Amino acid sequence: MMAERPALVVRNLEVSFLTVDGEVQAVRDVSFEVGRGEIVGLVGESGSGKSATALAIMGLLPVVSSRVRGSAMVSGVDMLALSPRQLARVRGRDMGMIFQEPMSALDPLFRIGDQIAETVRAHQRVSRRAAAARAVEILGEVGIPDAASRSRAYPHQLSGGMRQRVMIAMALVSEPAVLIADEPTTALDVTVQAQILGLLRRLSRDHGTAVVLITHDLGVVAETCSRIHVMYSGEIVEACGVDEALLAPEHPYTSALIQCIPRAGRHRQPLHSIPRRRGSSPDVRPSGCRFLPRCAHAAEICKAPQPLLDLGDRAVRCVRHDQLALPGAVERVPQ
Amino acid sequence: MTGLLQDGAMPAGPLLSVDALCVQFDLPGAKATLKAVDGVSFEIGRGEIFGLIGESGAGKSSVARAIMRLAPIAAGAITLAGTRLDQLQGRELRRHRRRVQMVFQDSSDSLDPRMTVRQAIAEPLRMQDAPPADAGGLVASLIQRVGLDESHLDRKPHTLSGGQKQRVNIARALALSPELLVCDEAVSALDVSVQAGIINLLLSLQQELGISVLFISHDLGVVAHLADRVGVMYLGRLAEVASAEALTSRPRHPYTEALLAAEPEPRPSTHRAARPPLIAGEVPSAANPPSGCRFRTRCRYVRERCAAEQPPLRPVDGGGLVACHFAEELVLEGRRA
Repeated sequence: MMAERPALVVRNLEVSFLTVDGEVQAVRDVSFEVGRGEIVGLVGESGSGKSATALAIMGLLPVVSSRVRGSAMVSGVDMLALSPRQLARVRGRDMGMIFQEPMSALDPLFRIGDQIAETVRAHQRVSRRAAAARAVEILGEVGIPDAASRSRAYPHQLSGGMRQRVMIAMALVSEPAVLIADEPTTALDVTVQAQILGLLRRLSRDHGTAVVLITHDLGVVAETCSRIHVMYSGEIVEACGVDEALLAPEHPYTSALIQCIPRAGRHRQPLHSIPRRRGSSPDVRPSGCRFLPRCAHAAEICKAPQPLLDLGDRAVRCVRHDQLALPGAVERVPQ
Repeated sequence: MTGLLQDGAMPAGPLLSVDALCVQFDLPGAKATLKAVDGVSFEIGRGEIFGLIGESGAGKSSVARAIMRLAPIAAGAITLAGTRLDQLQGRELRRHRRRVQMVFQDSSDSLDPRMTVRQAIAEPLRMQDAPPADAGGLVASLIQRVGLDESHLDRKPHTLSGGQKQRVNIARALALSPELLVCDEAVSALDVSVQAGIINLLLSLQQELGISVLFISHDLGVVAHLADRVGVMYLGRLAEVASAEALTSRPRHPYTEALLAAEPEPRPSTHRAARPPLIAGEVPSAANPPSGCRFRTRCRYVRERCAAEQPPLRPVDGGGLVACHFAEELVLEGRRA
C-alpha cells in the first residue's frame, strides 16, 4: 500500500522571539505530518508553544522580532521559504486559519457575504456575481440557515456560534489543503462547541482538508482527532494515536494532564495537580528533560538531554517511558 | 487554624436562601427591560458547595452579583442566616458585606498591580470598623492556608502565576471570615493542571473551615466534581436542581441531558458510550425569550403544552427539583461512570 503524500509536513520547526532580555526559544524541534482528511491535535497548556507553531506555519509571526527555522511543506511547497508576496498568494488558497475569537478575523464594517466574496476574488479570477454566489453556497454548507439573506448581515448581527461558522466558511471557501484551527471552540458554549466540532469533522472528511486542531482541552481532542501531539515547554513530548494516548500514556506529562481532569465516579476526591515548582519557570529551562522539575518520576538519568524516541507508531520524549506504567483515562485491567 | 470561623454551635436552617429572585436591566435606547434572572429560588446549606451551571445568558453571574448586592434586584428575597440582604442600605449593608465574599474569573483584574500581596490581603481588614489586633499574623496564616508561603507576601502581582494570583484572591476573600464564598468562573481561565490545585483548595476550605460556597461555572465536569448540589440555569430560570451524583447519572430535564451529551469526554473511543443527539441552535436572546418553557425551541421532546404553559420548578421522585411538564415520562440519558 503506497501512502499518498501528507498534505502538511512540518520538519524541525524552531521559533524564537527577540526580547529585551535576548532571544527566547518558544518552539524547539517540532516535526509532524497531517494527511488528507485527517484531524491532528496539538495539545498543551499556556506557554507550550502550540500557538507559536501555528503562527509560524502560517507565516504570521512578526518578521522583526521573531526567528523561524525548519520547513513546513504544503502541496510540495515550503511555506517557511516563501517571500511575503508569495506567502500572501498561498495563504487563504492553500492554507486557511481560524482563531478563538471570530471578530479578530471579521471586519465589522462589511457584510459577511462581501467579506467571503472578497476572499474568493483574491485567489480566483471570477466575476463579482459568481463570487457572491459562492459565498452564499459556503455559508449554507457551514450551517448558516437562510444563507442568501444572512449573507447581507454584518458580523455584529450574528451570535458567537454563527460568527465562528462564518470564519470557518471564509477559511474554507478556496478549499485549502490545510486548515489550522487555533482553539476554535474555546469561547463558545458547550452545546455550540459540539456543533462546531461536528462541522469541522464533516468538512474535513468531505473535502479532504488536513486539519491541525490546537487546543488545551483533551476532551475536544478525544472527540475530534485521530492523532495527538502533546507539547510541553516548546517541545513535542508525546505523539501517537488519540486512543493510545488516553489508554496508555507513556510520557509523565501526558498522564498527569489526563489525571488533572475531573472524572465521573470520583466525586470530591482530590484531583491530581502539577505543581509549578521553583526553577520551573519557562525562562529557566533545565538542559535535560524540561518537565523534570515538575515530574513525579524524575531520576538522575533525566538530567541528560532528552531526544524524541521513535517507537514506530508512537514517539516519546522520555528516557524512562518503558519503566513507568502510567495511568490513563480509564482504569486498566491488570493482565 | 483559628480565627477564620466564628465559634459556637451552628443554627439550623439554610445559610442562604434565594426566593423568587428577579434581576432586570434597562436596555439602553429601547424602552424595554432585560430579565437576566426571572424567578430563581434555591438554598445553600451551611458548609455546602452549591454549583450553578449554564451557558452564556443563563443569568448565573447576575444571581451572584445580586447576592453581592452588585446588581439591581427587581423582585424576590435574598436571606443570609435570617438577614434580608436585599433590603440592606448604607451602613447596615456595609456591615453585612463582609459575610459574603467573591472570587472572580480574572485573577489579575482583581488585584491592584501596585500593591504587594501582603497589602492586598490586609486591605479588607483595614477597611473594617474595628481592625483585628494581630493583622500581620492573620495575613501570614491566610497565605499559608491557600497553599503559598510568607515569601510571597512582599511580591507584586505581576511576578505571580495565574494560579498563585487566584490563591491570593481567595486568601483576601477569606480575610474577613465570610460565611459564604461566591466563586464566579474562578477556575475557568486557568490551565487544567493549575485549575486542579484550586479545586482541591476549595474542597479543603469547605472541609476544614466549614465555609459555604456558591460555585458558578460553565464547565459541568468541574461543577459536578466539586459541588454537593447543582442548579442548572437556562435563560434566567432554573431548569433543574439535584445532587451532583443524581444530576449527572440521571438527569431529569432535557436541557441537562443536552449539556451532558455535548460535554467533550477525554476518553478513548473504545470507552465512549453512544450519546443522545446534539441539540441544534443557540440560546435565544434574553430580551425576547420564548413563551412557556424557555428551552422548548431547542428541546427534542417538545410538545404543545410547552409553549402555552411555563413549567414550575417542582419536586420529583429521587429528591431533585425539575421545571419540565413531562419529567415523569421522559427517560433521559446521563453520563457513564
